[in-house]
Amino acid sequence: MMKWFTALLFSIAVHILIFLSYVFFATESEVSTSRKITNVNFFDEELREKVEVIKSSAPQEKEEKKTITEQSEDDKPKEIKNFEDYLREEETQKRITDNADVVEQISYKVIKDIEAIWIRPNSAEIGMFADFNLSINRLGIIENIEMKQTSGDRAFDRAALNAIRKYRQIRYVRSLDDQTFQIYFSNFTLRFKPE
Amino acid sequence: MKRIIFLFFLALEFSADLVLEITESAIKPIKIAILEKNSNSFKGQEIINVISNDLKRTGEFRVLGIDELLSIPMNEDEVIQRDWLLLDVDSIIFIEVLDEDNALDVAYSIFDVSYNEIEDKRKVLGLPDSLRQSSHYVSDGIYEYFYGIEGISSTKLMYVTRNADIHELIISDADGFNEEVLLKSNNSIISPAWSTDAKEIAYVSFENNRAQVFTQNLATGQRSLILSSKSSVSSPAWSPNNKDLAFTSTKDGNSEIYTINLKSKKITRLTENLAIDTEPAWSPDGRKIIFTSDRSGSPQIYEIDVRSKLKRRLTTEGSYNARASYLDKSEIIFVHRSNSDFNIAKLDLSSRNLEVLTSTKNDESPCIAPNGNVIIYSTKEGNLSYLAGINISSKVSFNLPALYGELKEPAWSPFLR
Repeated sequence: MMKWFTALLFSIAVHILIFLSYVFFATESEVSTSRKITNVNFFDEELREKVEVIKSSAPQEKEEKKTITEQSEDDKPKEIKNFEDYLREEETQKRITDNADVVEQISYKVIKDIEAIWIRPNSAEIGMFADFNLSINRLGIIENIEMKQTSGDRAFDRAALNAIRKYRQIRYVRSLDDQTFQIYFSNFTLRFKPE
Repeated sequence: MKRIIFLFFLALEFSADLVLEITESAIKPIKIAILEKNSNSFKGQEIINVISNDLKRTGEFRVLGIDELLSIPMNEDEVIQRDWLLLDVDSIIFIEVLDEDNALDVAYSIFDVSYNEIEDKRKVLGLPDSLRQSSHYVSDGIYEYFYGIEGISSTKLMYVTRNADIHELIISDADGFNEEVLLKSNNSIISPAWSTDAKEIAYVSFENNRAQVFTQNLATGQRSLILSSKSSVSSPAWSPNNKDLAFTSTKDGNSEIYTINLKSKKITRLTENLAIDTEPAWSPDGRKIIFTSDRSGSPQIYEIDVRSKLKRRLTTEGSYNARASYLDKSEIIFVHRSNSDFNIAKLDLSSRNLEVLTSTKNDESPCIAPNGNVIIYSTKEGNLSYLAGINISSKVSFNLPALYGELKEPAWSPFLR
């Protein structure tokens, strides 16, 4: 009888040991996973930069995408998280592209307007140009004009400056959201370069 | 072509430098008003009239009349900016006549409407009885301020008139006023030309029953015969440094191009051809001469290097191209026949692009203003021969008053400083 009772106690002890071991190793595994999540965040930063590069450089596109795929395969537990981030990035990228279209439309309108005002002096020559930095407020009113680069010709600079001063207000920017306005039109450069 | 440049495009960090490139410009005149400062004198109005006409003639200014203004300020302090912005006026020119010992000095200031302040102040020192000339200098100052190249209102024109059998060589202001007769003859006078320092002129006179080239000092009136020859000598053209004169002569049996050094009298023959070579004109750097030749069967423009004597044909379009001169080192103007009309045309020597500049029908003898922006030429309508001009930038044409039965062979003076 005593033998059976000793065997039972031993068995209970072994099971407790097995359970404790399981609990111990299970906790170690969770810690390890959270570290990997940290790495995934770091990878997100890289991905973001690569998306930018893809936008500005088409030939690099395939190579970059391949790199992203390879890294994702190397680290399978991150796949779901990366995909979500990637979707988020894509959404951001789409928003930027949409904004770029609006920015381009407004830019063409501004160019067309100023071309209708600018009276080019006879001293203007091919290759001559003058740059002006414009600061405008949220209503589109030109608040400050700074000559960044002179053409070297007084009449040319004067005529360009006069065209900007006559323009006075870029009304189109009112329709932009604050962020896009801030990025592109709060401060930009006008270059007068006759062709 | 319109361009938009995104220099930096950091999408998520949101920092972009947008560059908008303006490449085309409006083809319209600059709108100005000219007012007398603190006065309303007769002389002031006379000056304003001369300046207004000078600037209007360019086609590059729209000068508002008094009746078009919303307010008439007596000086800069009285300018109501809103009134002028409504009229889209670029600048107001305030003229001030300073009467000192019969010599009228003219002070003027350029008031920029969009800045609402004076941008430039200048003064023209007048000589006794030179009101018109002083006004022309003011016009030139205003023109240069806005267009960056010198104005030509204060320059002179030389031309030949014929009434019955009387031929006269005349110098006048660029607007046709203040005529002065330099030579009167019963025989033809043709091809007048200014020396580049405006001290002498050259022309062809038939007073000895053959074409002869004379030079004449404008200050002393002294005349000199360039070449004593029984054959014809014509088409004088001063070299840019005034040391040489190019001309056409038949002294070797056929019409050829020569140059003569005015000091040493050394003659150099440039062409040797059975065809007629005539009407030489120097390039701005004095290294080349363009001339008319019919060596290809029809009158065409050729260019010859004065030193190497290498020649090349410049015109290929049309069956008549003649009387050429350089507009600048890369462009020439000449008489070009298109269909049955004779027009003034411009040829770009690099692109070979030919542009017909005039719309009148019988144009001849084109010459270029010293600022390179205006061409004057003689043209015919019925029996009336008169001078017409075209502004190259604005494409605006104008006519000079036709007081004679025949007015031709214009030559524009250099800048008179």
